[in-house]
Amino acid sequence: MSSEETALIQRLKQGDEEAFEQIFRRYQKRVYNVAYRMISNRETAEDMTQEVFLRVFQKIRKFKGKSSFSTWLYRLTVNLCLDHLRKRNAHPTESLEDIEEKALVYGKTPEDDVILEERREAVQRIISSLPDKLRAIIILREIEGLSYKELAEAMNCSMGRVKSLLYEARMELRRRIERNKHLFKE
Amino acid sequence: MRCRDVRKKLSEFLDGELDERTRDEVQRHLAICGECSREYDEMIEAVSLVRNLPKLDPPEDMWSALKMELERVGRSKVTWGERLKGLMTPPLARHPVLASLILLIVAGTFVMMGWWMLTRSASDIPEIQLLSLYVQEHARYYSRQILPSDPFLGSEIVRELKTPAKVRGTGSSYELQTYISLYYEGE
Amino acid sequence: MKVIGFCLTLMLLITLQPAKERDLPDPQDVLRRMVEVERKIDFVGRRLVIGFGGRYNMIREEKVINKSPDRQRIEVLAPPEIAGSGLIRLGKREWHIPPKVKGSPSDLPPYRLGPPPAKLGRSQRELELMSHNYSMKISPGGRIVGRRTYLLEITPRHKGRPSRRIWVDVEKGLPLRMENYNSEGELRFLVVYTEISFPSEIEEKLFVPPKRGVRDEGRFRGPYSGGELSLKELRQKISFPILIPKYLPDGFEFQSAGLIRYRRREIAHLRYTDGLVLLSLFETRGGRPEGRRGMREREMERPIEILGVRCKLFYDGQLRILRWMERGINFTLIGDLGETDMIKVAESLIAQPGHS
Repeated sequence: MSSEETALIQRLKQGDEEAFEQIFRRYQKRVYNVAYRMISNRETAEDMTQEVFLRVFQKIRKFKGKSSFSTWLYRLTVNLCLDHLRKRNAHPTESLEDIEEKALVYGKTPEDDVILEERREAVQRIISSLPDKLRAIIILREIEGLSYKELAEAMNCSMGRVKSLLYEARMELRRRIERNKHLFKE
Repeated sequence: MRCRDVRKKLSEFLDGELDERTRDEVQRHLAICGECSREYDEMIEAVSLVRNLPKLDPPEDMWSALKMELERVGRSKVTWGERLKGLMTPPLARHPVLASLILLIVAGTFVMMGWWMLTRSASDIPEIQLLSLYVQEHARYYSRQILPSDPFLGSEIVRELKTPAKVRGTGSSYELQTYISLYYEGE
Repeated sequence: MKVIGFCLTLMLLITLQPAKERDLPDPQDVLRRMVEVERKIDFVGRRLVIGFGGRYNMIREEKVINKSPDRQRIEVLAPPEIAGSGLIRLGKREWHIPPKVKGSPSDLPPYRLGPPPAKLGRSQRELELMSHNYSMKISPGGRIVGRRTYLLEITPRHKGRPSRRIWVDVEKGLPLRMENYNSEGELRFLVVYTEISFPSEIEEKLFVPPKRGVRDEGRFRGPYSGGELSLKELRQKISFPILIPKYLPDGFEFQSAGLIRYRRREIAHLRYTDGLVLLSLFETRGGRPEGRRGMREREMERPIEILGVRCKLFYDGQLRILRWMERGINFTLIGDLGETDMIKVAESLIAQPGHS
């Protein structure tokens, strides 16, 4: 953690709103992307991001600086997402969570290539099909690029567990992608 | 090294987290074992598919929404903390019983507020967002009636609610009048 | 001479009139036949689909291929921004094809491409209700795309309800032109065929979706909201006491209910119909009063007061939306009904003895 960030966090602990804004702007994209990839719904990801930062503001005094701020933040995000998924899985068939309007909507994505977008959606669907914890570790490692050590802090587990989780997650990912090969054929 | 052991190490191998000796062993095994090397290639492919996913941009107005929430909830908590400090001023310190009583009340309120904040969830969505859902559900059922609704039912409303209102043109490039008169031959 | 001439004319008129009437079918039969026509006949055609919206009109031209009983292929031909898009239906499955032009403008509104072929079976009651609440009249309809038609006019017996005019092909029973009028009597929707043919063979391969760029919508999903429930079933499942309106506009009756779970909220969906109109009542507990979209809300809606409660009314030319919050519950009424009827329904909910 840089000294600049340490200073920011100190100010945040005092309730400095401007420091909060800077932290927010620095990390919002990361939090949003993790949330989106975990939940695969943009609106919920927005809500989740907001909730994460509110908790940051509430809980910042608990942050002792033992880990870096970013891993602490990732941990918060992952935990909130896992909670959300757990509750959602309690009502699987009746939840409207991911249902977008059944219609053709245009211009939603910046990508011009429909095929590329279709493929990306397929990958996201596969990610969403992974069990919660495996999903989380794949997102943190492959998308956010966390190191093993950071993963251990973010997932709040031992190094050994990180290695086995990551192994299991990648195997599962590989398996599901192979099964759905037709979605990725040129 | 046997296939089973190698496969367990493939993930760490990919990340370069193996010690030199184990790494060499895995490498040697992959050179001669078609099965394992195929599995390794597939794993790399899977991982790269995920790594190549784009990073999405969050919506622009998130800070202002967060700020509003903060003003409603977060700041009051901070002021409570500061008030607590303020209470520990000398005049009150002379009355320790009173001071501890006030402290207790303040702490109690603190706890209640914390509980209240935690029970409020991100899912308390404003009604206006639900409206889009209602219109869609209504249209969905309406389209299953004997004489269904037209396919455009509610689309303007849903669009208004989902995207910011912009100044729009008059829509399609087709000449309405022409078509209406062209295709209706009277009796 | 004059008298004879007069008598002859009179006799002619008398004999001609009943003959003409005898040639016209019963409107209900025409309607029944029309509802199931997509399941019974094969046809290929082009049609114009026009929505007369509040701010702008939406027009598209489509090519339609219908193979009974449940295969459909709809392709949008124009306007160019959405040309090439469409859908394929095969039984219960649906594939949506995106438009040919990449990066179509986001300015275009979302729209549906029509429901799957209907089945008459469960709509018997609707038909009965419709004949009670609407007068259905058949008359000769002139020619549409060169084919003889009957004009079926469905007009309400009560004020503040929508109406329809449908030109039905005499021989095949297919609607060749349809006009939807809202509860204010304004034309809101028009679909008319510009070409139609009835080939003897339609190839199966037309209904095979292309390999690329197609979004598989899977099975056409029915209600998301936990099925069609009776009031009793809804009451059992939902966590808060729901209110039932004591007043319903003439001819309306309860159709079915649903329970929607959305982001930890439970929403009751009560549906009422008079055969043509669908009136939806949504009830849900809680919610933030004004959110970050509050601004847009104010632009669209008009505040009114009903029995001391502040409500919001909105009409877009097709749907009237009336909503309010009372006793901790948010109520939303949606339907194409006149304002008076909507307000009366709302009153009958607000006026109920209080509890929270």
